[in-house]
Amino acid sequence: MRRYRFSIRRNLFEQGISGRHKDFNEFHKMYASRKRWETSSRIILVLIGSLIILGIILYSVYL
Amino acid sequence: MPAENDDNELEKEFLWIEMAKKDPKSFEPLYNKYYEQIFRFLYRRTEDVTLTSELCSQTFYNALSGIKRFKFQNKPFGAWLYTIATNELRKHFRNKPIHFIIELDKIRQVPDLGIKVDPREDLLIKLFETLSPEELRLIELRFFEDKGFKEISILLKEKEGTIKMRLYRLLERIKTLMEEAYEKV
Repeated sequence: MRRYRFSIRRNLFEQGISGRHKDFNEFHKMYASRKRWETSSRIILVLIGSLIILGIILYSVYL
Repeated sequence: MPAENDDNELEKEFLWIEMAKKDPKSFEPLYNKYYEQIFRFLYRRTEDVTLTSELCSQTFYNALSGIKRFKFQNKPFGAWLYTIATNELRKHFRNKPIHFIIELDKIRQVPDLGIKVDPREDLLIKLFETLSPEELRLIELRFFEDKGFKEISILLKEKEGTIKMRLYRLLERIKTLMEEAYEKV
């Protein structure tokens, strides 16, 4: 099976995007926001899990 | 590049990594040093600026997220970034063939390859299709990325002498294949 689909260009950035450089501050903002989101979703998941377990325990006690 | 300079670079990287482990903002020098290299590596395999930016961002995000687990082994940080970028490419393309841009201007500058000034594109593509992924990576690092043998040996996890020998044999093979192809035309 062919692993690559080759094409030929004079140089890599024929369309003039050479030197494209993403700003680190922008990257850091994105990183911090994703990390916050990951932490929040983890906390929410733990809370939901705990509530379910608590619900099961209370239900079994009730029974 | 002299060995002393390599050691200085590695020492600097070690300090940057240790600082980034404590404070993500200290990741900046590593990001600035490798962003363009990783961007070029990804763009050659996607030819899509938006997709490349996304994959590049994800690569650096994964690197920074996992930097606390990163163990410095006297190798450039870039080697790890290339591994992450390759995994991101695999995840994105799954079983689809990956794009690869052959840079004509760069390839023409390698006299040993015997590639004519205006090679027929179909011949050149056929030639590249005969290369294994490892051979293609070797050609890419040496001629498209202009990397030295020491850096290539670290990235490909092989001895410098082995890399030189492999490249020499590969160039001989390509030259023969190119000459045969032109004789047939």
